[in-house]
Amino acid sequence: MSTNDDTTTAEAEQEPEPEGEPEQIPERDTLVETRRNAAKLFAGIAGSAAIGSFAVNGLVGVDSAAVKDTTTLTYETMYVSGTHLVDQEGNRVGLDAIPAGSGEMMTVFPEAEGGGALTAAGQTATLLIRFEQDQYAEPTNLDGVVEGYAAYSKVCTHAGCQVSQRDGQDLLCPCHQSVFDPLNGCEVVGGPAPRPLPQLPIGVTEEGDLLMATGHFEAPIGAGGGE
Amino acid sequence: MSTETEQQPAEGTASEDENPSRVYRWLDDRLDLGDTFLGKAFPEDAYGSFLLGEVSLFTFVILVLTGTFLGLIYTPSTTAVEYTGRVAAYAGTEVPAAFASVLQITYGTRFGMTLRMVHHWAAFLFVAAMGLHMLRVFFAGSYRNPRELNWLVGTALIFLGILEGFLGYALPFDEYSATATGIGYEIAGTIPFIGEQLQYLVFGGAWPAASETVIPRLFFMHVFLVPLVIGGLIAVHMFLLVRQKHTEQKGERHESDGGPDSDDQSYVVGTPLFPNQAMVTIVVFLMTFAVLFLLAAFFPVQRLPIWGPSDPTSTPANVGPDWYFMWVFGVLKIIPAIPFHDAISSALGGIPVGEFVAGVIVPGIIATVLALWPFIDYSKNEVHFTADPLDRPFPTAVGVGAIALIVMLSMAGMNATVATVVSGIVHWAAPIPVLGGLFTFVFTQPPVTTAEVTLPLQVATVAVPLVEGVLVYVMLARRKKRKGIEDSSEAAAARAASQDD
Repeated sequence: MSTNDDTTTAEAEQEPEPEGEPEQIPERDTLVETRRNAAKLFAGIAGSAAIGSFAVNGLVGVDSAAVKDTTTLTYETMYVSGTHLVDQEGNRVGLDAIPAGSGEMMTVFPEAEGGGALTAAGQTATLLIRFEQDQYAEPTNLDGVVEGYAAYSKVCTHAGCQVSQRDGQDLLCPCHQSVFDPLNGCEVVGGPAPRPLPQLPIGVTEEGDLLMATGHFEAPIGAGGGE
Repeated sequence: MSTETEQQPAEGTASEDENPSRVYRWLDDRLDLGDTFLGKAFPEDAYGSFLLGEVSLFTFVILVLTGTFLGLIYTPSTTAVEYTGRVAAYAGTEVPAAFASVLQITYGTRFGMTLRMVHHWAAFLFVAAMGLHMLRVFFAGSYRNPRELNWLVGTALIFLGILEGFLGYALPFDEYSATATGIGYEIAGTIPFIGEQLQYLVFGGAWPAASETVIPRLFFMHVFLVPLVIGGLIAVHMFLLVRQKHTEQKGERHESDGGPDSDDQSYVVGTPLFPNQAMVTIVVFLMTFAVLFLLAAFFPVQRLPIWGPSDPTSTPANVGPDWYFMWVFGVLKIIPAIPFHDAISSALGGIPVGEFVAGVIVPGIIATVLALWPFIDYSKNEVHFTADPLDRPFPTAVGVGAIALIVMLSMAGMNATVATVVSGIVHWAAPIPVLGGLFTFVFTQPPVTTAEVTLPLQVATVAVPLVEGVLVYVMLARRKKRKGIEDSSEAAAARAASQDD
């Protein structure tokens, strides 16, 4: 390999350019040349198409082999009317879970069939928060608030982190500092989140001592919200 | 560094009579050390900045070596297993197998903690050395004609290095890594129309629901696919370097010894690869090795037992990425609300527009400008000498502005820390008449919240790089005018071109 031997300019040292075709193509061959070039072009297109289709096939294979979401839960099916709220251990949440008017919050989940918490990789995590009943205002769904308890999805609508911090009485996502106001339907009051946290309408059971959902989430949960 | 200068073809210098070393002669007889490849001239460099590329290369070697060790013990699985190792906090508890295996590497394997720390520090140094190497090439103008191609390869290498860092960060499946992977997963999904396909191609399933399939796939990419591409591109990078040769710094010529003229582009001078530069290289390798072990010994990173295993129902308060991702994290934090968000979102298939702009568009623009820079600052003639950055107002101003932008974005990424620091300053300045009033005009009172520093950070992120860039440009342009200087490397290139004509 030649490296340092260019004591003269690189141009001067280069091999002379390989000559083209030694004799000129006679004019009558122009048609042949054109046809040949056209054939080459089409062969090239066909070849790339073949390779491309193999590639696409391969990629589709990778894609279809991918195990998609193992659950079929959506924001509409994870809670339905009558689903009990449970804590991480699967214990049903009672009306005394949070002191009245304290503004404190806890993480709850939908009760799985046959008991236990449906944690589903965090997508079902729900914030239960308790202020005074008359502190809530529109656009909160006031019919979905009971005894000062309100429930919102815990999954941030920006990048899908868990809204696990507080900023005063507001809710704060630690990833990119989106701030939500739980007294006003979890509207975005700061940060990059595009939508409020979806509210979960809740009520009490017929016995009147346990919390349950009275419907599903009012909007898609998490980032995007297209699904 | 050796002052030996090779100006003639290597055949001339490898004479047996002149070389005193019997070992050299013995090897030379068998291996033809006088071959031009081994005589490749390396530039002499007063500042050692030409060695940053070597540091990048050696950190990659160390990453492969330590990574091999880690890969032998690591388990790419998120199945819950009972932890029976030595960390008391998790004794007898169920943790993901990946997390347990990293604890096993760290606390249950001889030398394991050291090698894991070295691996992590080497990853930091790999990205840092590549970045500094890129800055050296940028400010010296070494990317210019005919070396644009190698700049492109280098750009690909630094972004692959960052990607490799992201993939590796995911593997321990701890709280931070799960959060970071989740954000990466969401960003991939924000790309209109192909986002979902891309998510499944890269991650192999929904995060975190299908983490059992995602982690093995990220492991495969981290230990095989991406390192293979990086290794291949390093080979291309070095092949191009050998083919095109280094640029040369001022003052390397020894004209008094009868060497070539200081601006004669047809000569290559420098230290031969063997044996002189090889000795320097060995020293650089050993020093890189030593520094990494020193850092690993005294400055532990990624202390997983404190963070704990991934809990998908929670996100830790002070979560943040490694430093080389802090600027993207910053864009995600300070991008303002996008007007007509809902209309744009539904037109693009329901993507979160703000996250798409912050996670894909803005970093994409920065990466594209970086990659195409040699074609923006294009040189018509072949340039083989480095430039003095002070002689090139425009590129130097852009470079300074770019550094300021990355620093500002990284600060935005650490806005919680910024808020704490600002709180302290506000508290301290409050009793001072004018200053206190100025601060209370911008901020309410201590403690300043992270939300409150967003607007100042948004303004500063745009203003500081602009102001710094313009200042540098104005000062250097005035200097150039006052001294009547021009870029000597460009001038030499122009003279060489006119002689050829």
